Amino acid sequence: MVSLGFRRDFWAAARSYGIIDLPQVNVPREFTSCSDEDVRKQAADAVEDIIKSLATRVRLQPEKIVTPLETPQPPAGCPAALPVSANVIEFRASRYEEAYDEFNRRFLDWGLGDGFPLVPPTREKVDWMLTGTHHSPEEVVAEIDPAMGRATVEKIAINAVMAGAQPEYLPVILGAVEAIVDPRFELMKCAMSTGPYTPFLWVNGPVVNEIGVNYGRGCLGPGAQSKVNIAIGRALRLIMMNIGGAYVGIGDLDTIGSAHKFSMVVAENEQESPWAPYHVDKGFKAEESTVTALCVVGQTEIHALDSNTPEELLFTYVHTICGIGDGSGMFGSPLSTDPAEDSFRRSMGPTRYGHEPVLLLPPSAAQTFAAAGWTKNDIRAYLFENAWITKGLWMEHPKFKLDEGRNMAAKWRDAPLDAKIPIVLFPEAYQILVVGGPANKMSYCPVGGSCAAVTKSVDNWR
Amino acid sequence: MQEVTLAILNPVATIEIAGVKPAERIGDLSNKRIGFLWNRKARGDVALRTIGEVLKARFSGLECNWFEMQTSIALVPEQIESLRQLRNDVIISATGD
Repeated sequence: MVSLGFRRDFWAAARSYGIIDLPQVNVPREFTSCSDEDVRKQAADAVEDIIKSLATRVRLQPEKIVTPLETPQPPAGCPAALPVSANVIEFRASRYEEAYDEFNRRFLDWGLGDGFPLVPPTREKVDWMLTGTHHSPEEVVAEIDPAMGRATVEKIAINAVMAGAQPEYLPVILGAVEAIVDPRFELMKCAMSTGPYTPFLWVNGPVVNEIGVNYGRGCLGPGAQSKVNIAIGRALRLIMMNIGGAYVGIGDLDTIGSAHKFSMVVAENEQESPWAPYHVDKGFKAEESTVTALCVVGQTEIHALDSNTPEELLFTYVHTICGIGDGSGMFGSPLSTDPAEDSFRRSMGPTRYGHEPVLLLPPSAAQTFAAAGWTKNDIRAYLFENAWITKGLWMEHPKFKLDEGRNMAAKWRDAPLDAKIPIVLFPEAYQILVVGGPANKMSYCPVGGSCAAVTKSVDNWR
Repeated sequence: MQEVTLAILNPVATIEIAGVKPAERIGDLSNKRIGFLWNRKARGDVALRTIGEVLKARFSGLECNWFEMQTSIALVPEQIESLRQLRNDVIISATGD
């Protein structure tokens, strides 16, 4: 039973799991936005079709299914269909500029781009991109959710060319793919959500200066100083689309969308950080290069221009992140999650904190903490102590009202309504990065539910 | 006039997966066991319970079992085993928010 807006998602998902043409029964509207009465009516109206579909023969599937991804429908009037099975797609014209324009027009029609002009991935360009890694073009890096498309090094390189990347960025892109397919990242949720979930990448180590990933002023924004950041993030989005099948309406069911989905990449400002770099905290050596991926749902400014003590800096952060409307807080809340009783999270491994919000500190703010003798763990401890929401306020949230408290972790069931529930499970959940230019403007990136930050080596992909 | 050809490598991946043998179809639901699988998204339970009520009124001997997923995106191995042990003839679930 599938609401109409998710039909193609259903078919694409069934195909990815080995069933072509799985019968579905459609209802007009998604249940989450209906009244109970409308839900009952929709469901009752669907019963006849459900009974018929239970008797409808599903054709026998071949032993092995090899098929291109489900791609978007071109608009009405598009003169050509995407030759999905072709290894090479040709565009002919009397002049190169016309062929280039035709390529961009068709790729946009076929839904294979992000809306910005693409660099044509010719054989020559892709071979050039492949000089960025010693890995074989045929090597399968991953099968990428939600469509489980096979991400060979070459397919990744093709999309990297389209994004405007250079060969020296390719190891970072390959490392990013490795990170997002790690189960702890929860790519299925990140790619498919009806919310604006997107991978946020940060880079550490010597590769930052080798290739010029921006860690200073405007590192999450447009401009020449961030051209490396933008190309890497753009490549990842194109990979998620053309290899993972995260096309809007098929594998990406985002309701409103987000500009962060075009590209969201920074490097840590290791030079101006008073602390050890992020990747060193994660067990890598300083001279190793890494890329970390975390599924986030946006970015909010933490205005702290008037603050020059640690407590003042964190006051605004605490009162920003303690919002029960924050989707990440709601789903990742310790009110409903207890690793002791949550076998799903336990199955992900011992370090699955889940809900790992990000605090981006500009160097000046980091220096304020360090001058007062604070480490990153001191910041985390302070946040864990002070960033909480009362059980009573949580219980007012429609999600908990609807569930009648069934979702609550056992340890909170008998707690009083004024019990203070920290918004993360452990202090270590807070991800702290030093980035940006001068000024005391911090940033907070809420995280996509229970997703965790995953760090992978870039050097392995050189 | 000379023609220019711009030859592009296809960026779209293929899927290679083992085909799934579909379960036998059920013609008549009388005396059958139906499992309702709720992903804990709001009001999915209302929809599934409504369907259960209509089917029970229509088909004699119909047994309905209720199952809630721990998360909205995946079944963990213990849940898959629990579902299997219930030995339902049919599973009905809802998706798409």
